[in-house]
Amino acid sequence: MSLFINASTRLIVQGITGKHGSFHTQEMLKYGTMVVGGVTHGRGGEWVHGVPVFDSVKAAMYATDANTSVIFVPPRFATDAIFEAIDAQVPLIVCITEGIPVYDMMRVYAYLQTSNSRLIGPNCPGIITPPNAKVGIIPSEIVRPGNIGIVSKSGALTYEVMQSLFQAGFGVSTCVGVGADPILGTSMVEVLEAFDDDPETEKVILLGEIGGRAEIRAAEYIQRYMTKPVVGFIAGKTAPNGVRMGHAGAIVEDGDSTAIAKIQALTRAGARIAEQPEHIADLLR
Amino acid sequence: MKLYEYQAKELLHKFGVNIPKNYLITDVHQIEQFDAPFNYPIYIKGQVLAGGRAKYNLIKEANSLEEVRHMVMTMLNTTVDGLFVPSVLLEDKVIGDNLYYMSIVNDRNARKPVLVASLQSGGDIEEFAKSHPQQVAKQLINPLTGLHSYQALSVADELNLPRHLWRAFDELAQAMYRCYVHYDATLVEINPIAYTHEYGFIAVDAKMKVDDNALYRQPDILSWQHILHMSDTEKLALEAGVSYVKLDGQIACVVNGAALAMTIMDMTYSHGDANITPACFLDIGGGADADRVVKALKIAFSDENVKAVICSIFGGMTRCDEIATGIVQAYRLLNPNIKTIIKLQGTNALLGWEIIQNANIGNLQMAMSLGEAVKLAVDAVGGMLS
Repeated sequence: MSLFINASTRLIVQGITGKHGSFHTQEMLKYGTMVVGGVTHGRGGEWVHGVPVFDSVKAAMYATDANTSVIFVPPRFATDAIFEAIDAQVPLIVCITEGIPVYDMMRVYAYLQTSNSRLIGPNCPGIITPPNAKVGIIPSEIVRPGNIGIVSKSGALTYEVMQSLFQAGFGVSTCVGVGADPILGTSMVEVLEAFDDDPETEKVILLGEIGGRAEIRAAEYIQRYMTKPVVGFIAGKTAPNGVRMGHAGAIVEDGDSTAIAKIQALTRAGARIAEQPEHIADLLR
Repeated sequence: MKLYEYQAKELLHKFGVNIPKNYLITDVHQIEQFDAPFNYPIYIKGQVLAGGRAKYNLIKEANSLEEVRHMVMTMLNTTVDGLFVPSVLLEDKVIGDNLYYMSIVNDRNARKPVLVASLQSGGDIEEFAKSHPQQVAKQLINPLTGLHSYQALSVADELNLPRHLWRAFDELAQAMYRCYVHYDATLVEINPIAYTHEYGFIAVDAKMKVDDNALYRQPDILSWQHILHMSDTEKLALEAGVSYVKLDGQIACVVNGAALAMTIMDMTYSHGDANITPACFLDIGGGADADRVVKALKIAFSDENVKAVICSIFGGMTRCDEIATGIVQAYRLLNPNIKTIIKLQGTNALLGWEIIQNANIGNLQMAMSLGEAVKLAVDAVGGMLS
């Protein structure tokens, strides 16, 4: 089982000939992910780290029978890359790219509703299911297989938490970075739902931050439906109002988008929220 | 990026929205030569990137050239609430029968743009919608198909707008939506809109925000960026490609990742000593090279309140050896009497550690955990303050 990706994931990399695409293709291969193809328009026929490059997602899908795509394309071309993957009927699309215009993402989201594809991200670190499936950029040396599910908006903070779990002896079933943009393909609630159904996951860690209502909705879901315990951390208690804190989505615009409101809602729903990320492991015991 | 009122009006006017006749003053000398064909009284409106301008005395009415001069002089190049007033708009006073509200805004929860309108104007529309839900009408817009006329007309119907105004109401909504799409706006708001027999609907005040992520394809908007009032450090941050938010404490947080940077800020606040707080949020993003680190540290050191820096990197896309090289370069270049607490993990972390060790710079100190990094930084500041 596990979420979204596993040993039968067959991955294509959109933007495989770029600096980041090529580097992370190598990292994903090293981890054991079946990277079966790559796509760069106009570079079909080349090879990157032993992976064949195709001129379109459609051609790559036809030749490789892939079921997942990861996008490492610069922001101004990333929207096109997502539309191409949807049109090629890729079941799971993971978009790492940061900086996609919001209007483009609203169009992508509306189009996704008419398809059978799932989009994770954009502006996310991707997904890792130890011991051998990784789609994206999550460092693999800080994670071992186990029964803790992680859903997170961020990259580096997630890695800090994974590192402290690793040191405390905990293992991870799947870690899903949903992304830190205002408009995301998959919400925290959808990932919580999937963790609740996943027999390999026993406890879930939720890592959130200021901005939007995703964590409030997660709290509502946890209160009503979630059967597994949730431990969390919310960043940005001391962030000033109305200022974008790095991530496009990290901005306090109303009462529900503050860290305090999210911590209160999650606590009321029965989740245990850590004061700092290094205390999360203690709350899991 | 927020736009000034005159900019928002200029863009809306391009799409057919009526605006009052106006004249922009950016230089005091313009007033001396001023001989405008206005019919008094006219509005004198200080341009500032904040709402509620009346309370800052930035909206006034003038009845003579004498008054215009005096009012412009009191507003131009002043600062209200930390925000600069770079220009003053002189504008015909519109006398309308009724004042309305209309906006197109991104609805983050619905993941769609939404048309919002009300027959009431002024104030905070969100608050007003909560207290008077029947007086605010909304229609979500499918961004793939755009705003349909029937949607605008149903808003007019819901608000009980007189029927002879429906067509004009729809045209206004369509113009605003085209402007919203064309300029990658996240908000286009006209508040208030007046209805006059001479012009029909006319924008008395307007607000616009443009998506920062879309500025690469908005050259007109981008060209306005340099005339905004930006501090030198903010300019440096923009140029370096780092996210910088100035705060008023002593510990600069230089981190790759927004959530982790906020976490370190939070931990600094909750450490116990209320006098020691973060000086700034500096997110250097993924894949930063040595040069970007040097620039980020330059920004941190340039703030004279800064007494210590926490540089915490978890290398995924980012390589820790590049970060370490940048830190060493910054210290060789600027030699600040400020401690930097460094936490390196992930890609090439060992190489990074070696670079820091070999540089043998007394003000560089390594930490193994976030808690330790915060403690060392707080201690360093405490030592300097006492």
